[in-house]
This record gives sequence, C-alpha cells and structure tokens, in this order.
Amino acid sequence: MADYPIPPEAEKQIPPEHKLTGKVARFLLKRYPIWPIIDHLAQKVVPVHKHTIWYNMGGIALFFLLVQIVTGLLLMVYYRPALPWASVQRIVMEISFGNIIRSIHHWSANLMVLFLFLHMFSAFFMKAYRPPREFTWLTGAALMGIVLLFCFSGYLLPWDALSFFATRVGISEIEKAPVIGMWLAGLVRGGPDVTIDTIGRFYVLHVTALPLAVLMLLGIHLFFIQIQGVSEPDSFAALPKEKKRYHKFFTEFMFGELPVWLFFSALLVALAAAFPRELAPEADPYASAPVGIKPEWYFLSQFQLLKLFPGEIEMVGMVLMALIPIGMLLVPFYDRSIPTDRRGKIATLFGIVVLTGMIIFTVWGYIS
Amino acid sequence: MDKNNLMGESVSKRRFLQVMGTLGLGWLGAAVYPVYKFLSPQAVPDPFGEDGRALVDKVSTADVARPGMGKNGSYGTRGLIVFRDSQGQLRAFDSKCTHAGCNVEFQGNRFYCNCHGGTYDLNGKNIAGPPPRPLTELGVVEEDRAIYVFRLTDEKTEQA
Amino acid sequence: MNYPVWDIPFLGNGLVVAIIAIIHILISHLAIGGGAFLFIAEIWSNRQNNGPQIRDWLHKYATFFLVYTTVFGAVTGVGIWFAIQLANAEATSLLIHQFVFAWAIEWVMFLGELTTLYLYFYGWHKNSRSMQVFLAGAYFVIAWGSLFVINGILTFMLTPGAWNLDNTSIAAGFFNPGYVSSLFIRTLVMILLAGLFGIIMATRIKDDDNFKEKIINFSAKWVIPAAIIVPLLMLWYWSTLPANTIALIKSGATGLAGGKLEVITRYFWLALVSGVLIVFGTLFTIIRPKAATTIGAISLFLVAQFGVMGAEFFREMARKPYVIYGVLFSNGLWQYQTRDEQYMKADYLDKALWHPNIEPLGQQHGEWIFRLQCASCHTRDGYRSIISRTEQWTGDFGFRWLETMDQQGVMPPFQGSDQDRAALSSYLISLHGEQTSAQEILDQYRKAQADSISAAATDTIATEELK
Repeated sequence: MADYPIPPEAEKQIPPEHKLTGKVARFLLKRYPIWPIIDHLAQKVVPVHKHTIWYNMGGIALFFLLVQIVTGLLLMVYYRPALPWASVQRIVMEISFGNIIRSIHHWSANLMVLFLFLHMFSAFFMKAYRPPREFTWLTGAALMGIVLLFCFSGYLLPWDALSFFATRVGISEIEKAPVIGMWLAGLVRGGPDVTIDTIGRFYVLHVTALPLAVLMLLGIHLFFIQIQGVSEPDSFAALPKEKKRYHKFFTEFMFGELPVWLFFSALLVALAAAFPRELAPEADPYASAPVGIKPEWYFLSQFQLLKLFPGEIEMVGMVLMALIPIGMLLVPFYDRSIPTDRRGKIATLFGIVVLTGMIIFTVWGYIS
Repeated sequence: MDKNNLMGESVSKRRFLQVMGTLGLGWLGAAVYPVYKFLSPQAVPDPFGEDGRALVDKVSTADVARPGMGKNGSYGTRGLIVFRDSQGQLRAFDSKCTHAGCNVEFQGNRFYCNCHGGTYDLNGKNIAGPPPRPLTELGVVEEDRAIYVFRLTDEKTEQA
Repeated sequence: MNYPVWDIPFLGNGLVVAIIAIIHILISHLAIGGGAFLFIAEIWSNRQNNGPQIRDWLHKYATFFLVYTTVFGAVTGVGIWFAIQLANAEATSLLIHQFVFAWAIEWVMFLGELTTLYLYFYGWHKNSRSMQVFLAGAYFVIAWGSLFVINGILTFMLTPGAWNLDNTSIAAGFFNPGYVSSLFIRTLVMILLAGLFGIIMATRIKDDDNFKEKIINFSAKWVIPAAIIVPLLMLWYWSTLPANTIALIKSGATGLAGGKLEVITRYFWLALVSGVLIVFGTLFTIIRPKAATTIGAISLFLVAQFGVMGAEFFREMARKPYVIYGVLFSNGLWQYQTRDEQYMKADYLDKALWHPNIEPLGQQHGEWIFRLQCASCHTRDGYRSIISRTEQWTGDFGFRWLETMDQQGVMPPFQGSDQDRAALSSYLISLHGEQTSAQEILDQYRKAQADSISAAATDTIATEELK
C-alpha cells in the first residue's frame, strides 16, 4: 500500500527531515492524513483586547478539573464505599500525605466552581452565546449542571456529620417537586432516607457516570470552539482589520497562560497547607445536626433565597429559583444580536440582576 | 555565582533550555515524592510488640488443648498454625507455603498445601512437592488463656 | 508572662507577625537581589551595542523597584518591629539586649541602602556611567550587609548553638550553627527573585519583541543558581535543625490529631512545590519569551510569595514550643525555670501579674490563665484553635492532661498549681458549653486519689492476710 503523500504546504512548515522532530512528523503524516487538522489548529487565534483576560477562565477551570481527576484517582485507591468514614479517616490520618491530597481535592473543587461561575458570567456578559454559538452555550450549561452534581455527590462520600445532613437536606428539596417529588427523591437516595445505598449510587455517579459525561460534553464544547473560533465582543469586531490584534493559541497564548496554571497549583498547595479540610465525626442518622450547618458557598444563595419563602409560599420560591437558570439557559434564543433590538440590553440587565443577587444572598447566607 | 554566565553571551539558548529542563525534572521529582509515598505500601506495624510477643488470633487454648489438635490463625497481619505435638508440646509455624504463598493445612502428622501439593513434616521441613524451603517456626507460649508467639531468635531473652 | 498579653481574636498575635513578615520577606529579598541585578545589568549594558535601550528599560525596573521596596519594604519592616514587641516583648527584649550592636549596625545599613539607592536613581541622567555602576554596586553590598546582620539574629532564635544563659557570647549566638547555610540560601533566593522581577518588567516591553526576548533571557538566568544550589544547602540547613523538629517533620507525612500536628510538613512541601513551579515557569518563559505576559510573570512572582510563605512558616514552626530554642518558651517561660519544681507548681497568677483581681477558681481564673499562658500560640476559635483541640475533653481529662502536656513534644510544661489546672480545664470546656466548675474538678480528682489510696491499702492488707 502507498503511504499518504505529505502536502506541499506541510513540507514547508514542519521541521526539516534531518531533525528528530522532522522525522517524527513525517512518520506520522505518512500514516495519518491529519495535516488539515494540524493546520487548522495552528491558525487558531485569540483576539487581544482589554477583556482578553476573561478568555482564560475556561482554561483555568479545565486546569482544576484535571487536578480533580488526578487527586480523585489517588483518593479512590484508598476510599471504600462500604466503609466510607473509616476509609477517609485512614486517608487523612494514616496514609502518607493523604491529608494533603484530600485537601487539594476539596480546594480544587471549590476553585473550579468559582472559575466556572467567572467563565459563565464572562461569556454571558461578552455575549458569546449568540448565533452561531448557541450550542456551545448549551453544552456549557449542561457542563455546569454536571459539575454541580459532581460537587453534590462527592460531598456525601466522606459520610461525616456534615456530609450526611447536607445531603439529606438537599434531597428533601427534591421531595417538594410536584407529583414526582417523593418518587424522584427516593430514587436518588436509594430509599426513604440517606443510607449506605445512597453512597453506592453517588459513588458510581461521582467516579464513573459523571466523568464520562463531562469528558464527552467537554470534548464537544471544545470542538465547537475549535471549529468556530473564539468569539469577539462587539467593540472588537467593529474595529478595522489592521487594528485587530491576535495571539496564536499554539503556542503563544498557551505559554503565556502556563505560568498562571503554575500559580494556581501553588495556591492549591498553600490552601491545603494552611486550611486543610476537616473530617467531622461519623454520620449518625439519629443525632442532631451539627451547630451552624450550612450548604457549601455555591449552594448558599439558593438556600438563603428559599428562606425568604417559608411554609405555604415555598413553592413560589422554588418556581422563581427555577426561572433563573432557565432564563440563563435560553438567552441565546432571546438575544439574537440584532443591533436595533433592545433584547441585548435586557439580557445584560438580567445577567447583572442574577449575579448581584447571587453575591448578595451568598454573603447574607454566610453572615446569618 | 559565575558572573560571566549571567552576562548571557557565552551560553547558548539550547544549553540554557537543557539546564533548566534538567533542573525542572530534578525539582519535579521532589515535589511528586508525596504522590509516590501516598501510593506506596504503607508501613505495616511490627506484629511483635515491645516485649517481642504477638497475640495469636482465632486460635484459643481449647483449640489446641490435647496432642494432635491444631488450627490456622493469625498474628498481626500474618497467618500461622498452632498445634500440640504428640509429646504435648505447643508448636507454631508461619502458615505461608514457601512455594507460592498459600496457607498450608495441619493434617495431624504433617502440613499439606492444597494449592500444589507441597508437604512439610511437623518440624516444618519441606519433604515433598514444590516448596523450596521449610516453614518458619515461631516460639509459642500460653499465658492467661491466650496464646502468644515470638521470634525464635528472641527465645533466650523471652525465657529470661 | 512578665508582660501583658496582646489578645487578637481569631488570628492570634503570632499570626499577625507572620502575615506582616511573610510579605516583608518577599520585598526585602527582592530589595537585595535587585541591587545585584541593577549592578550587573549596568555593567552588561555598557558592553552591549544597545546600551542606552537597555538602560531605558533598566530605569523602568529601577522605578518600580524603588517604590516597591522602599515604601512597602520600610512599612512592613517597621510593621514587624511593632508587631513583635506587642506579641512577645520578652523575646524581643532578649534579642535587643543580646545583639544591641547588631541592631544598630542594621539601621546604619538601612540608611546606607536608601542613600545609595536614591543617589543612583535620582542621578540617573546626571551621573557618569562609572558612578552609576559604583552606586549600584555599593547599594547591593550595603543591602547584603543588612542580610548579614539580621540573619544572625533570626537563625539564633532557632539554633542558638553553644549560646546559653551561662555563655552569652555574642559571637557564639550570632554565628550559630544555622547561620551560614541560611545566609547562602537567602542570598540565592534573592538572586532568583531579582530575575523574576526582571521578567515582569520585560513583559512591559510592548514594541520590540526581539529586545523583549533578550531581556527575558538575561533575567531568567538569575533563577539558575538557586535552582541548582539551594537543594544542597537545604541538606546542610536540615542537619542543623533540632532533633525534635526533624522527628516532627518525618512523622508529619501522615496526619496526627486530625491533621493538625503535621502542619510543618505541609508548609515544607509548599515551599518545595513553589520551587518546582518557579523552575518550570521560568522554563516555559524561556521556551517562548515573546509569549510572556505580565499576568503570567506576576503569577510566577506570586508563586514565589507562596514559597516564602511555606519556607518561613516552616522555619517558625520548627521552633515550637520555643521562641528562643531551648532557652525561652513562646509563652514567656524560661527553660531554667522548668527545673525549679516549686516555682512551676506555685500559683500562676501570683507570678504572671498582668491581670485584674481574680477570684480563685472562678470562671475568670481559667480565662486569664489561658490568656497569659496559652494565647501566645493558641486562639480560642481561630488559628490553632483551642476549642477544636479540646473537643473531646471532660473537665477531669483536661485536668490530668495538662499536667503532662509537655510530653507531646511541641508543648511547654504547665506552670501552675492544681487549682490553676482545674480552673483552666473548666474554662476550656466551658468554651464548648459544658459547665463543670473548677471546684468540682478538684473535688473529683481528690476523691479519686483518696479512693485509689484506700484501694491500695486494702490490697496490701489482703496480700498480708494471704501470707
């Protein structure tokens, strides 16, 4: 069989034959006709303007996801779903450096959620969701949901007092859904209450089902960005061609971004060193909940908002709360970027209200 | 501090990268050391306590009350067989077959390994089958209705 | 104990010193390394074709350098002075009396630094080339002199070596076992930081990519000496550490007491990881110098800040429970006093006088013992929280544990009578909401003593009867 011919423009751009890199490149290109892909990737550019920094948010969240995968795999070596608390205690107190690895897993989870919020809101305010990028936005929304499920499922796994009650409260919110609430909550819990069966299904979700889902969706999300290019804000797109500056992604932007990843690595180690994650006493389903128990900060605003709708009107609160993510999800179909349309401004206003509300309620939740 | 190098004239870019790359790898090894320790087998505590004795689990004095009785048990994280020989003396051997690690069985007049047919006499010597070495004997003593084992080299100090 | 206590809720006075100091170390080390950088860069620029272009860039370096180091360096440096006096006046007093000339020399160095730096900077366009080179070099030498001095005092605290209260030779204290390794480690780190700062300033070159690359290559080389030599020097430094500290670090790989006691290992690893990240960050910067961004360069510099945080926390924690190792405990107890049993068992509040009139065994009794004896290292519910460390305590357990708390290896021996211990234990469990008064604890203990004496007596009688 004949080899695939190497395209002439490839010959000009790959390293010369006598160098090792040139040999490897030719070896691969003769077997796999992937030059169009490489060429396309080499041309991937990032626009340079005063909002460029926001383009980094997704990449930083990706960094934290990678940390989660590595530390998660390490923790899985010693975690036992049949003996959840004892195995986590062993990791934290007996296994060499187990404490640090577990704390890094905890901090990286929190920072990942933080940077995802920054990524989501910056994409929102830069209106990156507009056609043709609606499905990048939708896959992103799905990813956000999956990550929050990661957080919720992972939180239970240590099976300490905090995990147990947080999960019990969280799932009892599901019970309140009309018609299917009780049934759905039972399915999620694996029974009428949070038990070892809940751990079983949360564990499978956390280490297999959700990772597969996230990898698939992330692949699609990144694929869309590769073939469509990075979105440009209006102010930049309106500039005349000569004034537009771009960085090539490979390798300029990437190498500029790498030290920032290194900084976040140091930050994770510093946080794990200074603020290691505690392990509360083992869950006792019949004991009283710990004093001052609150959800983690990323669920705190919802928790605090629901407190405003006690008793009878709780349903009103839940409906209102559901409208917010639905509103954000459907924004690409509402704000179509028609210049004379006011919808763009309304969408921005909506975003500002949601963001401010989340911040206020989170802070309020903390101090109360 | 070699000031000439810092001037940047005599060091080429490639050498620079090589130096930094090597340093990077060296430092990386140090930082990744915790992951290596995390995954490495964790230290197993010595089953023999401060006094050189380990308590035997799963074998009670009733199990070896009369000559000819023997049972598999454990000490620390290791397996053993305790039995009483025809003279009425308590004996104990590590139960791990020296061939491939299966626990051997006490059969009254010998130890037999079900995995590959290895056979040992009551002194632990390998007399038939694949095992290349005898079983390790342990010193054994009965006290307060419990059984303790100790390393045989410590025998003299134990009885002092 | 001879001084009032500076009670800072949540952070604790030690942490206040730590935060100021960690910021100061980064700045001060850059201040010295940057001096070397200016000196070498001046000479280098004289040998290049584009000397003026390099010096224009160097002027930007010097501007930010001057503002950052003199303003923030001075503020944080003086801040350390204020903070240590309030946090531990006893130790500060010892250091001042012991090394009074060293402190005086230090101030001369500071004055010299500022003078030469201002002459160098404000004479930029007026001075001759050789004067500029001289001033930069003089600045570096004087600034390094300030390291030479402070290093003696700082390392003395951890490794006083042959110095003790009977042999207060200044030379023995100043040139102590940890002095030389620490001096070289710090010098190399200073050089590294100067290079990182150079990279930051190089990313500000917007219009000439080749020049940017040249400056980045020049600056990045300053990271190499530290990357190679610091690990070797660390082995030397390690050999000077107290044996107890080394045992702690080694045991610290696994968690103890819920992960709290191995904090020293965590911070050591933070410093190590920071070193790795800096080496790699510099490597990436050299591979594509034109891609270096200011944010990326500042990120690397911040990694160095984390490294400083790790190393300095480690160094301070290596000294626990002492503030001057083997001589003075952090809570004001002197090592020699621990040999006097009568002194140790006497009523604490009669010795530590900075408290209001206290009713013995009342709630305030325990609180003031905590303040005067424990608050030097522990806060109630914040840093090194005493509440979380006494979570499982009962009054009786606490009472008995306090008597032997120094056997742990990181705690000083308890100073005070049985009443003091009962009062403190009662106070500590009250922080959990448990109300057992000090009197109850004492009564319980005395009853248990009486019971065991009579039980032993009964045994003796029984044994006698059997014979």
